[in-house]
Amino acid sequence: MTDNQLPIISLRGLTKSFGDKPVLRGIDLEVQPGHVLGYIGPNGAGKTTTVKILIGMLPEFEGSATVCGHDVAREPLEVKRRIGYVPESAALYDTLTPLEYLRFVGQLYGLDPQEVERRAREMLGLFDLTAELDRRMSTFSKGMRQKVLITAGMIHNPDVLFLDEPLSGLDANSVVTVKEIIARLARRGKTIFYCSHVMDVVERVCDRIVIINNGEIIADGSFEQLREMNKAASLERLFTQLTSSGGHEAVADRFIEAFEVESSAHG
Amino acid sequence: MVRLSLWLLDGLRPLFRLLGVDYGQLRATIQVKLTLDGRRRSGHMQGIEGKDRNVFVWTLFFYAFMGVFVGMVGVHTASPLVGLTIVHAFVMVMVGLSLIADFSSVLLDPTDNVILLPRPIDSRTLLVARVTHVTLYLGSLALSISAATLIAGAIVIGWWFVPVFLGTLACSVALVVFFVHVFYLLAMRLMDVERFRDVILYVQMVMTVVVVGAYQILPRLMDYKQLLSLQIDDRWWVYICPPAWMAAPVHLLAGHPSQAAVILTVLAVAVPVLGLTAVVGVLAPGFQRALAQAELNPVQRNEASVQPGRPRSWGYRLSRWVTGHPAERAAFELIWQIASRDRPFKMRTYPTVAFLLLFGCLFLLGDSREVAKTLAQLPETQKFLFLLYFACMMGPTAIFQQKFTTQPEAAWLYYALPLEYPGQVLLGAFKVMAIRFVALGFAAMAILALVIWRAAILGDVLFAACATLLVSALQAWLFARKFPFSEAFGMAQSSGRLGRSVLWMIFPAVLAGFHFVLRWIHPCTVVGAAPLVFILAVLMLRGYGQLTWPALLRASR
Repeated sequence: MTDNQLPIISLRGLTKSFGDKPVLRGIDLEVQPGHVLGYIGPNGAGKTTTVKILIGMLPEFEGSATVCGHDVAREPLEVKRRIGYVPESAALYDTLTPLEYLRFVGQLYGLDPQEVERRAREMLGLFDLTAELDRRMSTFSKGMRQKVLITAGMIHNPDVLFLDEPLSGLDANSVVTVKEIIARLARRGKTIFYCSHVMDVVERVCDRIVIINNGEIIADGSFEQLREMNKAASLERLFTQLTSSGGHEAVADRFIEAFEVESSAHG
Repeated sequence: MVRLSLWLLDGLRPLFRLLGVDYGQLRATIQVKLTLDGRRRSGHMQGIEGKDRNVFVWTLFFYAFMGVFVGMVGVHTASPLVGLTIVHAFVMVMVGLSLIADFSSVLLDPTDNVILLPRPIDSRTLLVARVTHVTLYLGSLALSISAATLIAGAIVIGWWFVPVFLGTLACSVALVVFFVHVFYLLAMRLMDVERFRDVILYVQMVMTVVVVGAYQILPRLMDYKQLLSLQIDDRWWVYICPPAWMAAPVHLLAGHPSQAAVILTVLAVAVPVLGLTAVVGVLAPGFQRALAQAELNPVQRNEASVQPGRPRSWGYRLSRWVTGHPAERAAFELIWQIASRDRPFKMRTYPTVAFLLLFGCLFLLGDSREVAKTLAQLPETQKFLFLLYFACMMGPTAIFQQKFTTQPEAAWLYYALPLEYPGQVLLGAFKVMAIRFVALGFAAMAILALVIWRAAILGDVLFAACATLLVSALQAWLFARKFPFSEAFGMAQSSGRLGRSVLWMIFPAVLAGFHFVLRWIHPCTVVGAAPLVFILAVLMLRGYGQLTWPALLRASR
């Protein structure tokens, strides 16, 4: 894990707006292979938009974005072949079984169907889904769907993995497993782009943290570096220091007052 | 079905290679799409419960069956132009409606983009996959509808009919694809996605009614002697009637050479070709762009929000009048709002009202050929009783719909609330259903009856209204003991179904008999008896509202 390699993800002046509402206002970011990057920010900060641009889902943007040495706008297929994506919304074809779904996804990457099936059985089995392999996913719980999504994002052995809230809905054991998988992938030189709201997971899993707010990067560094700079004990503290005007105590007080104090107007 | 289609595709493999498509990806995509189609419920069959395996195959059989009637009309007419115009019109309407009703859920499915866009599949392969999928789907629909015509035509007209007819069938489908694309683009340009989905819902409802109505109306059509001997090639409107274009080639080849037939034949080939070119070149990309824009731009989706300053809706105003207990009122307002917004729910309930009207009209006319004469004689009969009690029998079934939803898990709320009488929630829901659906269906029939029989039957309408309320109340009290919107659609409910349907039949029949006897004594007695029935219904509803937790939990076991 040397930092003088060529960056595997590189963003320069990335700008994107929906209509007249700017979402990203010039993101500059370089990620080296083998890193686990935590990409965090408040709701609506532009996290998902950044990821969608990086994986080639949003072809129209300003600035430049390269992944694995390929320009995202010009060679989206080359990029898509080498990355995996676990979306935030649990979008699956509900009426398929996990095995059917993974076979489909594998074929889109040009993998041999038998090999896909072998991998799918193995990977889902490790997630305790062996008994559900041939059941339709419409009956699945959120955690079970998430396991299928994670498997679908990794089944083609991508070099870069984009994870958007990958642990949501998972039980504690699976959370530990996925965290271990992430650490091991990084050790093998894979790059992980990790978006999340769960600060303590980001704090522990990621070796570099980028905080964005209103479409701009406001902090970038390892957790230790950020802690040094801002004198915050935890990532959560740090995050709230940087992304809000503070006053959480006052907000909490007023929240409680709203239901404790009877308004005279309503009598 | 899936296997057959894939086998067909494998045969065309060199062609796809030639188009520069990744065949492996194409095959995988189409396989998944067809599997999904087979497991999805078709627009007008969403109401049908049961095994959802092979729904598509079942739909095809159904269409083929309807196609028999159409085919009989098609080959029975004196000139092939008239008969085939009817066949093509039917194919176009069915294909167009299915394209809008069933396929819009496919086209507007945001899952599709989230799943496919991050994968290394190029846009050409994706486009070809979509086009192939649509072609397979529509082709099998069109073929099953016209299978009977094809066979009958081959026998009656000659073997050459088969290739010519298949050719015109392909042109018909192409034309419909063009029209639907224009419709989609216009709709997307004029309204936002949410409104658009509403429009599609209405199309689905129309389709439901058309499918069932066609069943009833087509056999009647066959007897119209006039139609059989009709000649239309000298009418001006054939030139703007696409089904007539499609009928022209067979007409021409069957030995009716006329200037009109030649012009129509040219139109039949030229317009679909131009249309398809427009679809591929302009409309499809434009549509994809519009869709992507609508999807990726959640910021502008203000349609789903309710303006805070807006005057309170009908539901709120009504709730003050018709509800008592706070829990009942809260339930009323909630169910009222969901009933007006939840699409699957509307899909299940509103067509019932349309059916009522449709069957009511058909019933009044009977199988008579002379509509005007029958109508003139109606006021002397007492057929309005059937009309009113038909509504009384069908309407209250809506009560039973209140428990169904696509999000049953949200019903945890009721169990978490400190409700003393959970029956109040049921009562609130009942009142919404009674007002929005039962009253609507009854009103439709009552207005129909009043238009024909005039004010003379006002008293009868009043009595029948009270009777309908009583039947609804009884049905609620006996069978609707589950919280509103607490069960998934299509949950099979075998227990008590027989008893329920028998009661639906018998109880309204008994009331109708009672009504008839009262009228026989003196027409005014019905007015006097109405309040009694009304009070009975109110008492029953009071009991319904006081159902306790144990009663409810017993029911859900």
